[in-house]
Amino acid sequence: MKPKSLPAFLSGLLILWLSSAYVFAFELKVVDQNGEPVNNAFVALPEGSIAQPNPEPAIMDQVQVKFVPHVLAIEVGQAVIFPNSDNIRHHVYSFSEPKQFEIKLYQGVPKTPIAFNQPGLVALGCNIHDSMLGYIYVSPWPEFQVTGESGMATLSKPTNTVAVWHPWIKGLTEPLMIDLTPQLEQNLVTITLNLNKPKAPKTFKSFKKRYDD
Amino acid sequence: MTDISLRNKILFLFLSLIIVSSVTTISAVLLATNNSVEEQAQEKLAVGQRVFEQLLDIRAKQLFESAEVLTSDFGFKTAVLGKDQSTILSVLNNHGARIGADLMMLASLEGQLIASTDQASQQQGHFPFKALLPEAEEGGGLMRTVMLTGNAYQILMLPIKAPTIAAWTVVGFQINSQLAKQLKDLTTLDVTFKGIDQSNRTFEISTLSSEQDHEKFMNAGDDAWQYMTLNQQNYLALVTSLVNTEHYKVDAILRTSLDKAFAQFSSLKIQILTISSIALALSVIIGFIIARNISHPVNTLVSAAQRISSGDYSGDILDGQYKHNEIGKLASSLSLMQKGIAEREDKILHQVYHDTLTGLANRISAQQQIDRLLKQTLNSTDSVALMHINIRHFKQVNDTFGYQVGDQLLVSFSQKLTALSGDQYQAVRLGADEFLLLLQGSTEADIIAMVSSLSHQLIGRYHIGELDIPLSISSGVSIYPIHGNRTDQLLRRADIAMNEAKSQKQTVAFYQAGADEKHLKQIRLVNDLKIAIADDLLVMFYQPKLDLRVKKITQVEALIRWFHPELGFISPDEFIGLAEQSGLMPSLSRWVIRHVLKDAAEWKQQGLELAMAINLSAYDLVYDDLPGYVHDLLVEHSLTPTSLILEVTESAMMENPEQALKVLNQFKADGITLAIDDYGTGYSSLSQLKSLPVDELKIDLSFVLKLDQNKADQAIVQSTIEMGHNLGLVIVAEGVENRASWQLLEGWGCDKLQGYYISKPQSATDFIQWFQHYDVLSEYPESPHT
Repeated sequence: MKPKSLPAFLSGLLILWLSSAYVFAFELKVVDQNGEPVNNAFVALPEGSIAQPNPEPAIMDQVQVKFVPHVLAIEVGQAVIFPNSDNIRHHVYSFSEPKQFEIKLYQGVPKTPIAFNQPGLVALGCNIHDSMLGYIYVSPWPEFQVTGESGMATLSKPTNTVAVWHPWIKGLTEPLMIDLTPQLEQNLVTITLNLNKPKAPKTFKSFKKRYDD
Repeated sequence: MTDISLRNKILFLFLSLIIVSSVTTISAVLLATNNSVEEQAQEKLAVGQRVFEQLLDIRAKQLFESAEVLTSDFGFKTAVLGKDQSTILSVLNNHGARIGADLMMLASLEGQLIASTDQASQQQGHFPFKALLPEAEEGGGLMRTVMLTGNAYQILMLPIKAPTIAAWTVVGFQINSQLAKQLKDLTTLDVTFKGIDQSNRTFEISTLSSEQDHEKFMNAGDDAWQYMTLNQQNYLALVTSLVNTEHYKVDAILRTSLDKAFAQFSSLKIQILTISSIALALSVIIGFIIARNISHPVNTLVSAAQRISSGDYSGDILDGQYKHNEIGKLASSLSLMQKGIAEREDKILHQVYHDTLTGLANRISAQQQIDRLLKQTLNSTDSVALMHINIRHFKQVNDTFGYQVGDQLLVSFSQKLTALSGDQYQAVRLGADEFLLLLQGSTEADIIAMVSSLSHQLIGRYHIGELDIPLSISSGVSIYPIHGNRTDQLLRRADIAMNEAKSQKQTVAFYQAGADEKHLKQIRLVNDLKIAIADDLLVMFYQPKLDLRVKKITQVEALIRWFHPELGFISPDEFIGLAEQSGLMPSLSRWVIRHVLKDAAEWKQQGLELAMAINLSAYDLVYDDLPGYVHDLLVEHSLTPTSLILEVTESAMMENPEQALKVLNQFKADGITLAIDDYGTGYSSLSQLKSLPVDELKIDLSFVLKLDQNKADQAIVQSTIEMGHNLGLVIVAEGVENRASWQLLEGWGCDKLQGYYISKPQSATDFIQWFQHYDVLSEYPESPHT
């Protein structure tokens, strides 16, 4: 993932800084069935609760007809701002169970952030750009991360169970609870996900081809 | 093989060729047309099928695009992803109606039916296409032909994305007659959709009125050509399977009417048939004309040939118009043949009417010419004469100089005749040495003068090569009308006159009245004589011979007598001459010998031992077999040779002395007595007489009849008796008619007497009676009876 906008770059730096703060942290690596590091995986320590959510709204940007980041993780009760960095309008919506909303055609930064008070997965779309797809995972647990291109995640302490979600796991709306017990003695805990990379956005041509077959 | 005229044969051949070629052409065209129609129909169907499939694709695209737009609609999404069932159903109805969908369904990701515009599934709460979900998930959607509650639909199963797949929606369009009609309009093919499901529910959508062949189609394979009849129409059909699962099956049947396709060609067919019919009719006419053109001259030739065979050689064989072809050549050949036949027939005719050697007219043409001449002179006072000419002694010329010279003599004679007659007369060769001149004169005297003149000119010496041959003729003349008025009559009378001239050794003799009747009588007598010999109508008379030496009747001379039933007594001189001339002599002589020996045998039985004297003619001596015949008869009747005496005239022996001598010697050898008859009338020399094997000599009665009165006769008879005795011959005197002659003869030593004074010839019965009473001694009164 190569951030093309300044806010994205800054948020990346912040994450690096935070992770380096815990020197004795519990490190995990998320890989796919081929052993490749997995990007955009939501990794959480499934314990505790959030009494006071972060008052700062999170940012789900729209850059070059894409949601950036592709997967955003927030605390339950936290708000998200959907700025539009493109010079075209977008119509952001969600029909997901935890939060249904829409921000009708707009440019620039909307005035009011949208609060996500229910934990769970929220799929984001743009009504006028079908190819745009983004996810917000509203976490009920205070400790969570989204993996970068290295697939690495760091938790503050070792744990027997970790919650993992990834958009390419088919039909998955709730995080997977992965038992790490067998791996606790190891230096690096590896989480292997079976991913189905979505096919290219369908067009009629491809449909037609399939129909013919 | 029955007789078929040449014309019909040609016509038949011609028509056969035309018909065969016409039928072949028509068949080929019709076959090609049919093939073409079927090929076109198949091609049309194949093209139609491709168009049909493309149309279905295009329709699928359109449906897909409509459905996709629909499912992407935010309001639609908002509504169907809501919780309110009735709202969802109304949205399905509403938005389905927007794109003309006949079926709308909404199902969860797990395949649970959320809502359906199809009442059955809505009530059952069952999503009928759940089985298709994995495929739809795989492909991000699908399109399929399905059957649902007995109807066929084209359905699209599309995901509702929010933005991830939140639900599945089904948009269906019924396959109905409108679709079929649209497809028909575009493909020009009749379109039928047929379906059947597992519950045996069927549907049928067709641009055709009705179908009865459902089962057949259901069983047919994909993409198979089908020929079928529907509502009395012929169709070619192609079946395309749209879907075929274990639950249901839907086919699309494309059809094109063969009848209509053929209908396009029906006018072509009619044209071809019309043209062929006209061609055939023209061919018949042309064939007829050609056949006639060939058969007409042939028929003309046939009639010409028939004309020639009937003897008509005039006229052309053919008109000029066929000069240069085979018929013309045949005609000219026939013409040459006609000419040749005519020439040869002329030649033959000439030969029929002319003599080949001399070139003169022959007997056949002579008769025609005489007929013509008589007809010409019928109404005039002119006389016509037939001069029948015979070359005398011609046989001697042939014998002496050979036939070649004889022929040359005939030719020279003919040339002379022709030269003399000129235009005035006509010369005819009747036979070997006999010619005929036809003379014409105003009076009888003219003709006599002409005949005289001609005769003198014809006689003379003829130069044949080195030879100089004297020639004399005997000619007889008959004159029309005084000697007759018919051709055969005149010819016969000229012949009679000629014979008269010949026998009289004259150059010319004119026909004497009555000669013809005599001639005719002779002919009759010859005929009757044949009958008389065959039927024993002749009788033998016997005249005794008195042997003066023993004063007894020792012999009789048998004399033939003929009493003709109509003509009365016929003199032997007359009929024996005729018998000699007509070749009857051998049979007549044998008849006589047979009869006489039979009488002799009878007499012998009665005790009469008399020697029989029989006269032989010169003609009897020609054949060698007579002695054998006589010998056999003697044996048969048990008679001795001495009981037979054969009398032969001098002249008979002189005709062919060698042959006569041969036969006589044979008789002599058999012991038969031979006598020379009529001695003194012939020209036999004494030296000849000396060499003859005879025993008796009969002095001709001409010297004896008047012996008592004629001194010359007395001298001849006396010296003959003396000479005969000196030669050792027995002398018989014939014609003794009185006692004086008898006494003279007896005085001179004559051995035997015969004559009326002793007895006339009598029949056998009379003779026997006379013989029994005759007493020779009564002639000698001075001598005493013993």
